Amino acid sequence: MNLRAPEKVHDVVIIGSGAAGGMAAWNLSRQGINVLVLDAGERFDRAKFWSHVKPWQANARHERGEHAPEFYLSTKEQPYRTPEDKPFDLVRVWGRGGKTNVWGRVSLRYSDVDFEGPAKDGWQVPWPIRYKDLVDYYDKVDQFIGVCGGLDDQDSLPGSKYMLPPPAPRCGERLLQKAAQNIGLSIVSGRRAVLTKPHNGHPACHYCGACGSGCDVGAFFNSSDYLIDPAMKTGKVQILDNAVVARVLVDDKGLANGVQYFDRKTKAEHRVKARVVIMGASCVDSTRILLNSKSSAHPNGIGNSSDAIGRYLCEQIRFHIYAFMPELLGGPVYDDSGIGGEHIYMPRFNHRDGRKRDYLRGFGMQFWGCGAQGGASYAKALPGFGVDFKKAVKERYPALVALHPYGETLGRAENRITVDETDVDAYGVPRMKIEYQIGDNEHRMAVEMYDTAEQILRSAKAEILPYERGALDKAGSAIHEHGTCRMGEDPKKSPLNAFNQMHDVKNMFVVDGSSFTTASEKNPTLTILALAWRATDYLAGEMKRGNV
Amino acid sequence: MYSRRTALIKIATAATSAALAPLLAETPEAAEHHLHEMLDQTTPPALGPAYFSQADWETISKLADLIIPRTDTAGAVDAGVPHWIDYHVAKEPALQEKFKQGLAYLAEQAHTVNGSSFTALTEAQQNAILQALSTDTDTAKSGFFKTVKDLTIDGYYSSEQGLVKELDFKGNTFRASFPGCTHPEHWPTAETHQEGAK
Repeated sequence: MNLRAPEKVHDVVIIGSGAAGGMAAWNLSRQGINVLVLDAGERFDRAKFWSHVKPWQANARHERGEHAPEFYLSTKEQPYRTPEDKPFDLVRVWGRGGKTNVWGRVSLRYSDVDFEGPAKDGWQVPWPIRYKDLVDYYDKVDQFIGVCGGLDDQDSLPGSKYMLPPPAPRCGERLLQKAAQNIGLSIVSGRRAVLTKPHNGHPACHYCGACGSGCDVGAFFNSSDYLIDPAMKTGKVQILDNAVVARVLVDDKGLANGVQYFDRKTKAEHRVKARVVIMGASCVDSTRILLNSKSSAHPNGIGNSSDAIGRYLCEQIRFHIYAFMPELLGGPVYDDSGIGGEHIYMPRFNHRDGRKRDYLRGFGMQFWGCGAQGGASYAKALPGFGVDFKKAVKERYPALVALHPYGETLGRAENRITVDETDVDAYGVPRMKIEYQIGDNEHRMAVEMYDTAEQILRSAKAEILPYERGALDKAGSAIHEHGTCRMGEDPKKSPLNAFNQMHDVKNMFVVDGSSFTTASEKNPTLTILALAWRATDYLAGEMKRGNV
Repeated sequence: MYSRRTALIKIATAATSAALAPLLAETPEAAEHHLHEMLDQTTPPALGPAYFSQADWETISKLADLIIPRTDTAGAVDAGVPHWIDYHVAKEPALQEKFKQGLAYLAEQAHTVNGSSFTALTEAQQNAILQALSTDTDTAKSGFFKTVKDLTIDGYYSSEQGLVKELDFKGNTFRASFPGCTHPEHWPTAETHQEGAK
């Protein structure tokens, strides 16, 4: 006689372990709820990061055939399609903590300028929440992960209550602040999830500036160390590595009851059962999974009676202008590494009284790469060669400043992700196609973005490196995908309600960037953390009340 | 498990070097950071080319030297740039085609000037050819110059000679604090009123 144990039914299965999935796992497990996390990769080993490897050492290592740990998912392993005339650069990290291992750490709260945008201008659907609905969660996230910044709130950048001390601006950044002030613009302290002092058991930043290689001591927020590790300590969390999720499974009533996934190493198919499914696989991968989850109850993909899933893909337009500050030419060279990336930020200002614009929404500006860097790529844009050229490169080395404006793109129905049954991946699962194009509104906004960057640099009397006015980075470059499973009050237009719960499927939540109703000009991770915390508080309550 | 990390910390703890002593007073991370520098010895670049012929190698060395010459600091050749170019061209077929055409064009120009090779020309003659090449309206020709220049820049300013000795790069180390700009004359004025301030 064969005795078979009954198949385990997990309270909650969470897909993804980045900011969204990590927060969901941490917040539910500490409230006593059993959680299974499916991660498409493995943990990255901090001891193997190349954070301390100098450029010339890295060159030698490469020649010896050595490679830094590979964070980024290869398109060879997981290809996606785009129309030939609409390229889209998709950056994905499959592994514990996802993109938070290597993120830019810019941590800006949305303000009501952002939340009220669509309600005011009527473009697409309104956000179902306002700043007051999220402020407590922003407060908690800031305190939990540690965000440094100044006490210099603006109408478009609220909530500096719990900031860790801001890192001092570099010379070039101070001069940019001064130049902006002279033309009536405010460049404030940057807000970054970097620990400028030890915080909640994590060590302080040691200003090596090599964050892009992964932090060797975990001094900036990453979901693996800050959320998944403490979640594991509750004893309520199980995590499966290399679990590439294909579909959410449903019961006869159309409710989610499990997940189908494939082992990334063996390619074997597995299924797990669950009472609740939470999507936190990143905007694009969550969308792929939702669209592939077709059933008689959900012929169009799970929770997609609105036909909005996959549509309204939006991120940000951006470009880069480099210049040299006259005060710093040929001057002393300092260690400008700091916390890696900018110490300053220019919040959105175009909505204020007396300002006119011929486009919707707005832009802000970031400034990573000011001062002496671990290389001199700007030299490629300087003319000539020889002794004079060598001197010109050296003189400019301490004087470099970099301006990176970010502008919101509108959600449009035709900017969308679809899956194609006839085009399958290594697991036999339909691959996705991304169709995305920057629109007229964005090109009109870019005019003012260029004007603003030029005005600041003219005010500084800076030497500007040649650039092509109007040019924008390739779509996808901001790595801030949003909108493909948006929140909204109207179930006919939005798949999710105000708590990131599916209107159609009450036991499914989507807590990553896909849930955003608009993209804003701001980096999304802080808001993802706050939304995921709020959504899972709501879910825990609903589970206790027996509603889910 | 005996990882590289624990190994490094053990070495750090056992070290008696006076230079390390103050670091050990801080944190294991600080010590580890500096130890990486000691342990990560770079192998000196090979002497000759792996991909290019000896004649092409000499031309490329001369080009790198003309672009970033030795002055009171090291030049591109001192910093191993010819080796860097050789290594990258060997890896990339698209670059190989570019170099084949570009080097052939240089040889042709040199032949026109005095019937010999590019390396046999005087430096003034070489500079004149490069100057013309860099501004040639034929993008294949100016493109070749740009490729060599960009490779030279990447190789030189990522070398210890170029980045540390020439540019004075001080980053990617361990610091307990970050002073930022210490020049009040660079700072904005105290901000009493600012648009949008709350």
